[in-house]
Formats: sequence, C-alpha cells, structure tokens
Amino acid sequence: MDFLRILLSRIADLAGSQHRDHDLDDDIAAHLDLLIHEHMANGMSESAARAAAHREFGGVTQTRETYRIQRGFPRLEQFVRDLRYASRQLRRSPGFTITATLVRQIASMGGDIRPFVPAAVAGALTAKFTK
Amino acid sequence: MGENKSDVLQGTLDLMVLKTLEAMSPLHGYGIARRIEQVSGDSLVLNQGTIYPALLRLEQRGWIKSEWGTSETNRRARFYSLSRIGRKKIAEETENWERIASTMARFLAPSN
Repeated sequence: MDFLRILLSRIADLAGSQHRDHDLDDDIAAHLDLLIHEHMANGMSESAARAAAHREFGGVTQTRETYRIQRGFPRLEQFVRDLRYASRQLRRSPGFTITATLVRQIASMGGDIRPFVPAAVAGALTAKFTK
Repeated sequence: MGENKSDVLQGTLDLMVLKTLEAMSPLHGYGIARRIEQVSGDSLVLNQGTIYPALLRLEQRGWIKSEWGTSETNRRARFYSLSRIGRKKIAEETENWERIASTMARFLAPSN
C-alpha cells in the first residue's frame, strides 16, 4: 500500500509542482549556507568554503533532477507501468474474479477488455494484439 | 514496482535517515547528512544533496514529516522528524536490511 500512497502523492503534487520546486530551492540554499559557515568557522576563506561546500553537496542540478523524478512522473511508460501494477493489485481484491491471463486472452481474441482494466492498459493491450 | 533504480541502495540511505531521526529530531537536511557522516565514520562518502530525494521519498510514504523552521544561519528550511508509522517501520526495515546483508555475506564468502 506504500506504493499507492506514493502514487497518490505524485498525483497530488502535480497540482502544486511549482510550489514544490521553490521549497527545495530554499532547502538547498540553507544547506549550502550551513556548509559554507562550517568551513569558514574552520578557517577557510569564503571562496574556498564555497567551493568545498559545493563539492560536499554534489551537483545541485543533479539533486533537483532526481528530486523532480521522485516527485512526479518521469516518463509516460513509468506512469503506465505504475497504473498497470495498481490495477493488478486492485484486481486481487474480493470483487474481481477475472485474472490477468484471462484479460490478456480476451484481448488476444479481439474482445473488449475495457470493463476490466483502466483505459491506458486496455489501449496498450488491444494495440498489442491488433498489429 | 514504482521504483526502478537500485532499490537496495536507496533503501540503505532511507534506513540511515530513519535511524538518524530516531536518535535526533527534528533535523534539517544538513543536520541529517552531517550526522550520517559522523556515524559512518570515514567509510561513507556521501553527496549530501542525495539526502533530498530520500527525504521526499520517505515523506511521500508518510514515514517522516516536515515543518518549516529557521536554520542556525537564519535561513528558511524544512526540519524533519519521524511519523508514528515511520517509528514502527524502523524495526521492519532493519530486519529487511539484515536479511539482505546476511544473504550477500553468503554470496561473498570464499568457497571452501
């Protein structure tokens, strides 16, 4: 269920995504500042302290990029994969008696699987069997 | 699942963050990174920035929570602490990690 929580958090974050990037910028600025102060307290000049701080922190762009990926949808394929996983999990609950194999079988025979899976999955699966 | 990169490596950092916050809370990113370095001694060289995606991940799961505060140099920053769920998860995650570590030890042991 952690997985669903993360997915919901990502969906919620889509709305506030601009806000979230400013928050991270504040955190990074505070972090670098503390590192610089620490090095200066140990006797470094400000420019040396700044360089050391950036070395210890690592790439800021890299951090922002990794953070953004964790926050949102990195690629459409990842989203579809998430959705497929979620629908598999949901299918295991008592209401669902149809299995993934059966859905696939129906799709392979040209049947309509839209009642059983999310639209994105139905589209992908149907396309797979109508080439 | 939802994560495709090196789950074990990410899990290691996540567990370090949880243990750090268990010992001292609340802490901001700098405080957490510094304490992780202190505890691991010279063996760990960490790009401190990597703490932020880890903190985001843990917060998305609901294992930690954050509050805005002011740093020692008067800057706005988020301070993190464990949530109730997070506190419970530590034992579970520690057990997971120990299981992985002992499995790896068997793999890495020289064959007789």
